Amino acid sequence: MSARFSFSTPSTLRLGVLCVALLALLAAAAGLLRPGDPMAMVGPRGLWPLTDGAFPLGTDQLGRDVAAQLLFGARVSLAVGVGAAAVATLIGVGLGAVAGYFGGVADHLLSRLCDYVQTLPSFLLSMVLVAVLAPSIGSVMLAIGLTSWPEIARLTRAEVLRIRNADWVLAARTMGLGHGHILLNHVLPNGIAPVVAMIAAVVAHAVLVEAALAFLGLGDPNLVSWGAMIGNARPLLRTLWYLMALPGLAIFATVMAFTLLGNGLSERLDPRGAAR
Amino acid sequence: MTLFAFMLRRTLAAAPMVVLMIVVNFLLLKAVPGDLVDVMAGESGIATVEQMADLRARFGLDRSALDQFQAYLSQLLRFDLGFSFRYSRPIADLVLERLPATALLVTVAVLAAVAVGVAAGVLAGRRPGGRFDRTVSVLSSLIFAMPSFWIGLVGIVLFAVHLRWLPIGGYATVGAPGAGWPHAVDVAAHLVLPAATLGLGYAALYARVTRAAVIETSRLDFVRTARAKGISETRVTLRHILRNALLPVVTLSGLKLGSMLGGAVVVETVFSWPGLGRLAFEAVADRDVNLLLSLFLCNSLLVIVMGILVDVSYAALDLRIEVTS
Repeated sequence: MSARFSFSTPSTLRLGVLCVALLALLAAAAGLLRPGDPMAMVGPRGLWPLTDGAFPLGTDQLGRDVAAQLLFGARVSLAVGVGAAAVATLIGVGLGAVAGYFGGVADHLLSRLCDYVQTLPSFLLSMVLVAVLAPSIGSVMLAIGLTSWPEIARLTRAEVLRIRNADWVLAARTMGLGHGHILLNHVLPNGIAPVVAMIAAVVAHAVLVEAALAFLGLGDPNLVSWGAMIGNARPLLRTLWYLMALPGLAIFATVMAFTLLGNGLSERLDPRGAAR
Repeated sequence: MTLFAFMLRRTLAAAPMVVLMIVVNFLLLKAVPGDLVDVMAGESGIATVEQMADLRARFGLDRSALDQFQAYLSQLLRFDLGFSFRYSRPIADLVLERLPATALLVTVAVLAAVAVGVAAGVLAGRRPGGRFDRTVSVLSSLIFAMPSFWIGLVGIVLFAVHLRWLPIGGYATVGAPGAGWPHAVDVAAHLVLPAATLGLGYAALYARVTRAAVIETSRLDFVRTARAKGISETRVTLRHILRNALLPVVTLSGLKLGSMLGGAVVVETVFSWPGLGRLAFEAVADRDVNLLLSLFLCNSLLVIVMGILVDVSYAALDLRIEVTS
């Protein structure tokens, strides 16, 4: 499948890195740029963006600063995106590497498990998991991570399968090195490149899922989240529609940044796989 | 082997998956903090310890986990999904009541997405790197990066609030005639925005898959043969390339049809569409985990059924695929 054409010129990677770095910087500096509690009512109600220098992006129906909410919301989105991707990577790379390296029963079991998890309706499963575990930033991370690892596992397995009989791996084996050592130091470092690119795509996916969960009221109730901002703005579509539009643009920009990063990485790290 | 026998075999092969799903569903059900009786006691406001113990005994909640699982299984075999205490109704009734609205929404969305996506994919794949191809690829990238509920809300602001072309949400106008042509037109008008919102992402996906398949198929020998025979380019594209490029689209849309309830949750919530997705949202809002898990189980089973149907239609579409394994 050609998931990436056009959006992948030589500068894709640079642009992706730049956008992600900018986002991370904004999220980190949220407290400096807009000090205080983003949930506090600090100004007049329903102030439109670009009308008051004190609140460049306006205020919401309760007089809360929209710019502050967006900045602090970036923290949640990035944290959940990266956290969920970390969960998915740990499970996916771990299982995929073991299955690819040892083959046989382990490989068979992993394939069946991947089939099973990929058959489940993933968004509903995430909803169920968050509802069962009670909504919190940790449960959201876990719920998204637990539903998005099979792709990483399949790719890792394929890469390990390709490398496990390479000359240097056979050499390591004849030297009597242990399986764990060979897998970690000889096989994975050579097969991880395409997986890294996929991890960026998983982050982008996780940001979208987190937004949808928070929109449905399954986010951390104590933290500002872009999806929850949009959910709260729903009754005000006729009047204060910017309250819905701005967080949506923030989500869009974040997903785009990680997509660019992923496309750029896969191009740089795995030129011959560009057609995948 | 006949088609029927093939279906039977395929169904048997899916059986372990179904069992695993039921087990996982049961475990999740048991993982929910607090049981049915806690919920009921909370609802009624007054309950003594004795009453609660009595209720637990009556529902069999005091028995061992294995016994409870057995009861759960026999319950499922009788198509009994349990009882929703929020609605004071059997869950199976709720599901059946909401099913038609979701089926309508999802069917229209998938058909529209396939039509738009395949058309765009064929045109893009005919001239890879051309202007149309680049436009489609940029558009689909943009669509993939937007949350679907946000696309829906933007659609409401644009087409319902400002242009006033379409209704803002719901299934039909309240107070309007409930039958006949006016009703159908009314429902169709209410259907446009939700179906477009739900279908947009799938259209982008089908466009990409079709494009890739068209490019791949165009390189095959039989296409060159067809061209060499002097068949017109349009005919080659429609009869020779598209027909063969359509298989992955069939697979994908069948599988996606099964898992579309996830997307429907968000879209139905945005547009107050009274379907299963909306029911799932209400279950979340009411913390009715029983109901949510039942919907999850129904959807999981639907995905398996769709998988079987896809395999069967595959065998029917492509004569090279032998029905014998």
